[in-house]
Amino acid sequence: MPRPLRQRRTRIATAVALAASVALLAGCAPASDGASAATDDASITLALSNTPASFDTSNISQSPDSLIWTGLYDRLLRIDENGKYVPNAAESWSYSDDLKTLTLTLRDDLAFADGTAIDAETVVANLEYVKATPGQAQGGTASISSVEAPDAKTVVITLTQADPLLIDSLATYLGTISDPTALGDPGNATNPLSSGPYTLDETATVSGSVYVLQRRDDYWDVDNYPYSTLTIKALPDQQALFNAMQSGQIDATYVPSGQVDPFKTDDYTITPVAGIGVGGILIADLEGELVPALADERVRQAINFAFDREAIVEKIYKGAGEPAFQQVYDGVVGHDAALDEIYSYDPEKAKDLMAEAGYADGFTVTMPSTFLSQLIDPTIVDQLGAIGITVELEQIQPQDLGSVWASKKFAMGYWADGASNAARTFLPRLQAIGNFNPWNNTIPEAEALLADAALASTEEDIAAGWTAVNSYSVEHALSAPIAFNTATLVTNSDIAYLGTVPPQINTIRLYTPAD
Amino acid sequence: MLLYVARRLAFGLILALLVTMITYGLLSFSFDSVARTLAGTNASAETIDGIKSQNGFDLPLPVQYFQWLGGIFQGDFGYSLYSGEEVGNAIGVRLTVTLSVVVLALLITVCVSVVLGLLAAARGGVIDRIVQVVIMTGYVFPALLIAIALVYIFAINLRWLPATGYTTITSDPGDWLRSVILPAIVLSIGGIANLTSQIRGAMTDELRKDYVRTLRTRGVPVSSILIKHALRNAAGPALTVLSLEFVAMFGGALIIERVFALPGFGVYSFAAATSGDIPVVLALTVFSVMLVITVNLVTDILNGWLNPKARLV
Amino acid sequence: MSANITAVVDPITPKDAVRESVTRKLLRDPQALIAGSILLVIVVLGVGSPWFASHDPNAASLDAVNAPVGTPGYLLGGDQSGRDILSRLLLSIPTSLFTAVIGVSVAVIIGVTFGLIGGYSRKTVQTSTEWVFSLIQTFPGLLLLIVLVPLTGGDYRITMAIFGVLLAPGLYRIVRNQVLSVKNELYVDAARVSGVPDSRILGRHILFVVRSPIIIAAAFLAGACIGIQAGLAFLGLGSTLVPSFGAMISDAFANFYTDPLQLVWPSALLGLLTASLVLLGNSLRDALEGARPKSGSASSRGTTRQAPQNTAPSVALLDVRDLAIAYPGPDGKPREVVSYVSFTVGAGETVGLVGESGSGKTQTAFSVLGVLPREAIVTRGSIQLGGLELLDLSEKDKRAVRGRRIAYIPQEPMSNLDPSFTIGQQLVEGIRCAVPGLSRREARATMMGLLERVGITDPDRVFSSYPHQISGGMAQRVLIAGAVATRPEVLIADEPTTALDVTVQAEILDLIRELQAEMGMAVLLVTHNFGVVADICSRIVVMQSGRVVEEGDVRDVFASPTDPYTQDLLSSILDEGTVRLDPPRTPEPVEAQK
Repeated sequence: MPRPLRQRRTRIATAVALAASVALLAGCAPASDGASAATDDASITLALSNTPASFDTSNISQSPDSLIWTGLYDRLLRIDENGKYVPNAAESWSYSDDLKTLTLTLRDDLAFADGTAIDAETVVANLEYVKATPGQAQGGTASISSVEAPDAKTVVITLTQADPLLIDSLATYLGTISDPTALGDPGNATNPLSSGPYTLDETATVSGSVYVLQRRDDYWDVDNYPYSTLTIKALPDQQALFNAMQSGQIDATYVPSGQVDPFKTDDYTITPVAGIGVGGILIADLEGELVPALADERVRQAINFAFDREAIVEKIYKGAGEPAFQQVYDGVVGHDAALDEIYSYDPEKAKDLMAEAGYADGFTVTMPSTFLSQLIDPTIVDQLGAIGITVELEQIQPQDLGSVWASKKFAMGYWADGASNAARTFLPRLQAIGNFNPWNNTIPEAEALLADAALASTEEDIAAGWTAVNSYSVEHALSAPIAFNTATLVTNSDIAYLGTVPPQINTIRLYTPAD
Repeated sequence: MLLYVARRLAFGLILALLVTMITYGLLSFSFDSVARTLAGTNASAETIDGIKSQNGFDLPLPVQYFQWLGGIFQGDFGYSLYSGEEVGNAIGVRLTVTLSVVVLALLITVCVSVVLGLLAAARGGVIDRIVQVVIMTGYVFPALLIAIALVYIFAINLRWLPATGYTTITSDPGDWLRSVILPAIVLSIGGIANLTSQIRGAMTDELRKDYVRTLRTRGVPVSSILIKHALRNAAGPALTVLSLEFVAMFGGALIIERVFALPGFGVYSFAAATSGDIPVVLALTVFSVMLVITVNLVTDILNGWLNPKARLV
Repeated sequence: MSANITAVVDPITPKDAVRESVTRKLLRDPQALIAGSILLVIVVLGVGSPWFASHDPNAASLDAVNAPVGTPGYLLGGDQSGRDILSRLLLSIPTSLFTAVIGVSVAVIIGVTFGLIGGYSRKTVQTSTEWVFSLIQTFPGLLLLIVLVPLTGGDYRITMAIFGVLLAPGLYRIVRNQVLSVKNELYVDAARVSGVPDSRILGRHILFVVRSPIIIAAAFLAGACIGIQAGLAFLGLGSTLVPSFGAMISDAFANFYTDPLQLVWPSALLGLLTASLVLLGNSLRDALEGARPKSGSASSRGTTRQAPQNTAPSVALLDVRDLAIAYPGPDGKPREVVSYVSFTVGAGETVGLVGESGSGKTQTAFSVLGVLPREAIVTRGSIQLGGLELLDLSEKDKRAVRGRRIAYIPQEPMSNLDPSFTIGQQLVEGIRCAVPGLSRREARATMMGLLERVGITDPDRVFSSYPHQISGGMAQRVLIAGAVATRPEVLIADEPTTALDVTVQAEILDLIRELQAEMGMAVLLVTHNFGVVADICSRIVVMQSGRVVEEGDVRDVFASPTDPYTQDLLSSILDEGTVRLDPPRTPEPVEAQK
């Protein structure tokens, strides 16, 4: 969800986790991770870089306020600190061979905070509610044709086609379980009945400012939640966030790279989190309807040769990042190191390519200028200008961010997104109905590769499938990635951060008392 | 008197209605953007349309407006499109926060400005120049820099005061005061600059008037003349400035609320307006109009009390 | 006996001084000069910025990212996107200037036009303008501007035009109130009667009167517009492609820990611009409307007072010797307005201090009371009351004398009463200050009695009335009551009848005469009216241009004046018996009079 305030470096909103083994791990019992319940009454204060939106399950997404609702809702699956999809409320799941039926088996000790048991019917009601209610979450149910509960422990989801994003969604926003008797209640927006490890302390909570969560001691997995009190402060302002950390009001936060020095003491632990997102030029007009030049692969490749990525990372982002030549980060399914060799900073080669394509005199293109691109806009204009592409920037107000691509006014533009889930990256861009494909382009080879990846069922096939999509994208310059972001997490020295990969969503499970 | 107040308030309500009508009309241009934002970047066209009908955006504008109006008369201001909070509640909570800061800031402003303005007008010379420099610093330095400086000294270094956040007065009055004092000081700076200028000017004029000299010839002491007579006469226009400051502080508290992370009226308005949170924007509009009307009314009544020639009844 | 005293120093009276034009006042005001010069420099830089700026404001180079100050080609360094800070700074000036011009113009045009119309027209037109402007005024400004951003596209020019409309009600109010207050002035009536069309009256007469608050408001509004636009840009609204201080400050702020210096340049320039406008506004206010607070007291000037020539012990009750009063002239050096004035007032005597306006008689009276304005200096002489040297007293001691031993009746009754307090409150306060230890009840009883004594038929009503609720004659009586309440030894009456109707004049004079006889006061009557002098004074002191030119018994001086000026004055009094034989005189400049 777009936020009106600029928060480039702390934007872990669309941070996407590493999906080492997507989708198909037949579940086992939850592995015990290192977190001990030794410090039972520890409390922790974390910060949120935006004001939370509604917690109604039809409205939640992978935004930072997941920190709050993952405490209040139990989820069917979970993403562990290594980015793997693991069982949670569902103790196991499996796909049918054609990948069109997903069967989940629930635990039998699930209950709401008021004691009501949670069973398969509950889950069915929840999924049907989201499917029927317009909202941020509804899109995740697009491929679901029906949900059934053949018995109290089993949930069967029938799909119209293979959906590579389903498991990821069920492990985040779509898998949430809320009170079936109160679906759609206005109260759910601010204080739903808890199915998760915490309940909201209404007296201490100030909506929009401070959220205090108290641990539920009757929760089935309570041992894995060492913090009995979780306080979350909404601090949308960069300066306020920094001051709060410095004055000890919060225990952990992401800090912009230039402001890390005050925390280089024994009182703090500094953890860099790399690959937390990728920014670059998104090319929407691949068939050249608005800007004919972009239909020519050579022109798009020229764009890829135009950027001095190392210098941009060093100067514009002050070293908090790495050059990006592909849309997915190292270690993510689909990443291929070989693809990094194809392009480099070579304006001369770019100009040659342009000439070859018949654009020796260059061309003009209008690009949107949003709060995402503000910092890098002048550099883009400068470096594209150097190869003959004249860029005219059009200011986009924050409230219009949602319709930037749908408006079909922009053939290409700077866009920032997650870098740790190939499916989430490529589906909206390459599918005919994708949200970043307003002209509904269909590239037959790309479509075929997407289908292969979606229908892959083994780990190797999945990896191969997405690698093929990614390679195609890079070789044919379907976009021009520029840089991966690295965020710096600062925590009090009595807190350990468990994440080993950029987190898909923000949860309390990422933190534990340091021993 | 009561009739006068009632009439003014009724006038205010009609104004509020007119303003909300115009605002609704202006907001209608954003319906599409708002629906798309609510639907998220990965939404399908069906979701977007679904959201539009969910919120009534596809109904004709007058129908939408009257539906909203109907809700208002039942005390229902609707729910925020983004956070789902009940709007009346949400505004109420944030109002208390901003009111705390604004009222405190006004108190500080009045105390400091009266002293400085009096000194400048009564003593003149070097003191006047110093006061003018003080006024100037108030205009020149952005509130932001002062806020950063104060937070650095008092919150980060000395740890006397919290850097961010708001504690309600009911939970802990001491903490409440600690959480609002820095924001109030920063907010008062602009007000001090304005009000001191005003008082200085008005007092200077007042002190040149004949009756001041005549009072002196009766043996009335200077302090009495300054505070009892001249200040009272100079207070009229100063009161107008003060009422303008009060209203301005409500909107101007925005940046201060951001830096101190106070869940106040300013940031709420800003967020609602930039994200097109229509029920909230409308409720805020009603509230703002009534605020201005009430402040004007109170100012006029106070003015009447101060200045017999302007008595209303 | 009459005496003739020659002037020693060439005096200038305050009223004779050339009326300074507003421009000259501004040019003399260091604050206005500094502010004006800064503004001028900024405007020149802004106008010339397309030529002065060496880079396009949005052009970036990776090598210039966060470049330090002094990098070749980037004089003030580069910002975090690699753009030249100096160029952006210079090109932000026109943005601010346009902002001010657009915002203020719209506000002034709308506000002034409708203020004039609204104030001057009939009720129906008035009510409708009231409605419209109340509507505009109550519109939540920020909300409106933000909500309109999708429509305006963030273009600051449209935004400022809208903001100008939002600011118009302020000006409308100011203008309307001024118009209302002058609408019923005599000169407007006269113009109307003469057939001058309304538009001309509005344009020529009323607008002229109203111009000063508009000019002052315009200066402050300009500052406000610039500030708002900077604030909006800072918040991220409005186009980032247009260089502006707000956008620069926002960028610099995000970059604060990397390069704090980047924040200084736009903040400083914006601050200078806003501050200059405010300073200029203040100076305009001082020049056009009032004065600035006067500088330090006379004693702090360090000029010592010369002693009078006559040092023999005084015999009369009030003894003024060789008094000289000076004011700082346009060049800062003291110019005497009263020189070598000497006269006495004996106990129970009534002395008339006579002269034309500007002769220094009121100054003399004030100096006796010790209520000269702060910038006045008594350079020479002595004033003794019953042997006590008044000029040597501290303020505290002077206060003990004022109101108790020496009392004062002012000229214009209405402006000498505090409009915010009732008559009673003021009288009681006055007497309780003069007579410590007097209780409220006693004071009230005394003053009520005095009100009756001075001829007020309904003392209860007057006691609880406000000054604007009583007539001029009654007000004068009230002031007299207040003055004589402590049975002073000396009563100084400054033209007590000039502002009153002729019939009332006689009554007041009678009253003064009665009170004097009753209380045994000495009366110093300052006046330009020989008739009054003839009526109640026993001795007369004639002043001209700050000097005493003749002094003596009233009958003697009237019968045979020795000084040519006195002769002139007396001969210009008309009476039935005299036919004027002198030819009509053309007005001559004051300095030429001898």
